[in-house]
Amino acid sequence: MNITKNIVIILLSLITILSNKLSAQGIEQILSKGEVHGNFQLDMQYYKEDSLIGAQAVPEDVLMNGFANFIYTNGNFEAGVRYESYLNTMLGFPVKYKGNGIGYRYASFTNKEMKITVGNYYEQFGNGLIFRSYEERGLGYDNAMDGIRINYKITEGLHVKGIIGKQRYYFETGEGIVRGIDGELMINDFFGGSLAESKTRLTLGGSFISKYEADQSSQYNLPENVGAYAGRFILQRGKIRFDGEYAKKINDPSADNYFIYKEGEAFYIQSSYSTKGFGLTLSAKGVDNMSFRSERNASLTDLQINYLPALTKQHAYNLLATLYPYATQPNGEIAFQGELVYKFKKETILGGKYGTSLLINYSTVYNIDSTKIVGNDSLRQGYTTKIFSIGDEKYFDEINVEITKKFSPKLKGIFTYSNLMFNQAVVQGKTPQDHPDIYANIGVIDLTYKLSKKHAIRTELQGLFTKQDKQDWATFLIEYTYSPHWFVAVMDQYNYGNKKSEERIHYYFGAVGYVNGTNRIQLGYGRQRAGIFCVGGVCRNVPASNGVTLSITSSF
Amino acid sequence: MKKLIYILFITTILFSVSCDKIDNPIPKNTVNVDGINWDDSLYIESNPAMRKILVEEFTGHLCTYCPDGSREIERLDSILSGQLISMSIHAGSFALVPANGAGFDANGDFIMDFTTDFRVLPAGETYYTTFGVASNPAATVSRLNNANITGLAQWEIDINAIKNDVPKVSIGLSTLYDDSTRTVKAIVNSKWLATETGNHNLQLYLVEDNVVDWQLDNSIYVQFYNHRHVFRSTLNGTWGTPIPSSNLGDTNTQEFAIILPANWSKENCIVVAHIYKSAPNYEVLQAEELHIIP
Repeated sequence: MNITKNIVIILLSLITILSNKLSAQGIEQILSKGEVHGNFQLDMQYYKEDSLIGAQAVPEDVLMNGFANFIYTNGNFEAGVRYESYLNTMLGFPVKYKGNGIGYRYASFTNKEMKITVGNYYEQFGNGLIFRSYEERGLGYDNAMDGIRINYKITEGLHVKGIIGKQRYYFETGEGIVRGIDGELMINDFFGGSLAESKTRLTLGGSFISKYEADQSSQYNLPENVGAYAGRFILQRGKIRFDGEYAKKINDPSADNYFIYKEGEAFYIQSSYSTKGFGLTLSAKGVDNMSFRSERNASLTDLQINYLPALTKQHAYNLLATLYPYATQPNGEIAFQGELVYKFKKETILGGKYGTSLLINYSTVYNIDSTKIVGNDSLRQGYTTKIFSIGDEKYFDEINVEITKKFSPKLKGIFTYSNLMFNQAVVQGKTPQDHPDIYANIGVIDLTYKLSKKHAIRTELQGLFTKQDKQDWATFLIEYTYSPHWFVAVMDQYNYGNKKSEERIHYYFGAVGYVNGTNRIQLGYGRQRAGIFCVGGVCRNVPASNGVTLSITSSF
Repeated sequence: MKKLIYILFITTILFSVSCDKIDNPIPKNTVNVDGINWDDSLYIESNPAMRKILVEEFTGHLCTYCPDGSREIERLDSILSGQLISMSIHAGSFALVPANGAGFDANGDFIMDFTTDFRVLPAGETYYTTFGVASNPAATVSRLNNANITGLAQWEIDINAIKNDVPKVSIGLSTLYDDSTRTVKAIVNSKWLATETGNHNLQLYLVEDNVVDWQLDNSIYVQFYNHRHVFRSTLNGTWGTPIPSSNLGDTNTQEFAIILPANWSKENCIVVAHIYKSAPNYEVLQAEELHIIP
């Protein structure tokens, strides 16, 4: 309620100031330039008990998550609010989201080379290794900053950002204060002259973040101010691009690292080459003790200051995306990824009449090679490691091949094959004795057939084959679209190969949707399997559920 | 360029004031918690790769074969080097103080004195009856198989079955001691290393080691018998206190205090903390112990 009160006071103050300075006509003229934009989303589910899949009914019968953004812009001024409603929070989302409130509000203005933002803001320094404030509504993740941000263009080619604030913690803010500065120097623009015209372009960046949290521990002398810094570059010449970042964090004992005082470090490096019909990207990442939160005892996805992306392929097909998704291990991992995209030209053997696209992705993740300090460890370093040396325990490995082919003006297909290895004991925190590594083969056939200009039918046939975990799965989906307004889809995910015959369960789901401009309404019914839902290497557990779902989105 | 110099200057200041490099993680002086300057504070955090094993042995000063059980536990402790936490619960008929506990011979010399009551009421007797102790030596190893009570030949087998388990929960245990009031305070932080279903409790005990008193040992009345790890009291009730949730990453902090009676040696007092599955399972998932003073 305080937030709402503050907004009203700010708006009233602004109106008072404007009224004293300007005539009624002037105010009208200014207001006429203003624009309001916004969007809305509502997700609702009626839950019913389904003992077969372990789904529970809820006392409220129906749970709902909803929000609406309203953004007002007028010249150099911008302000916005997001109203959020959780009545009560849907299963699988953090239960601390409960009730109604203003989850996000801000105002900003730009004055020549400077932009000032007060209130909430999202921001990122470099690749996010030491600072990224963002939201991912599908995960219930939101670590928006609440404070002040200044973006300052010192001169052509030299930009600086300064931030200070607290992080969002559901409808409150965390205890810690986060402050930092980031500078980016675009060498070509800064020095100008012949360099400005050069085909080789170089950008250098540096950032520093520090968090403050009081030491109230009787067990340890805890650092109240924990700093992290990073340096980065982007080098580009024509079709070749090379970029990288290195980050280091000083002693940051926390619940995540079992209160050790070892310094943390991380790197991310990527090179890419792309030309018409061909693209190649190679990347590597190393992380050692880089969990960084504004409260030492925070857990799960709460109050994370930095972002450590998963260097694995992000999947859309449900068996690939939801059964064994990889989540970044902030205490230590080394990852490599390569991706090749090639388009076979039309009228060739492999290209056929319409051309064929081929995508090959390989990613692999290992632990870091470390040695635990046994005996006297008065400095509480926990372990030693050589800089980013690869350990002998594999966390994840996948080769993925995707072929996209158009057979005729009416028929298009996407064919995917994936072979993966998944260390469930480490990634999902299970006991290794009874949770061995999973080796799986996955195939997906995705066909779209245009019946006519307005009518299309799409089918997905997916199969996952493994001897471990719950053995073999299949998914079948059929989706009928009547453009531009209607679609209907039916899906069944079936654990047909489960060794336990009583667990060979059908997870069926049906949905019908109506789309009109920016309005979209979808009604669904069916089962949701318990599992893990991930976006960009950040994951949350989703419990099993059964019931009717309603989803409405709109924007203006 | 002036602007750049100005910004670099601010950045340098920010760098220098916003990093606290700690060279002495463990405080050496007294600590102030809740307005009290505690004389001593200790802390231990469980090794995330080691499941500690709690052996709760049921004994009595008039149990003639119980010392065999105690010696077996000491042997196992020497093999497991730091992985075993043991506790002797004096309960049942062998732990009673007999009416003729203090005996004299014809010359008026002491021949035996079993007047010390080691029992903890009602907790010790509740464990004794709930777990169903039928004969001695008797113990339960991390309360496996619904706190199954077994004889000493089974203990090593049970220990070997679980000693390489990866712990599902970690325990951080702090003890604070104020000598002016003889108050012991224990703070326990738990963190789940895996998601566990069902309900779980945190249990805190106070144990006193090396209590010298009479004991019947293989039909011999021993006057200066060294009683190891004597269960003295619970800090949070007979069955402990619930841990609200047990999903991967969940943390919980609880703290409890107890005042030491004058006849308990502060140097020998130990706080034992363990997390177990609620009844009827009872299995102890992780345990830690820590002295109250260095």
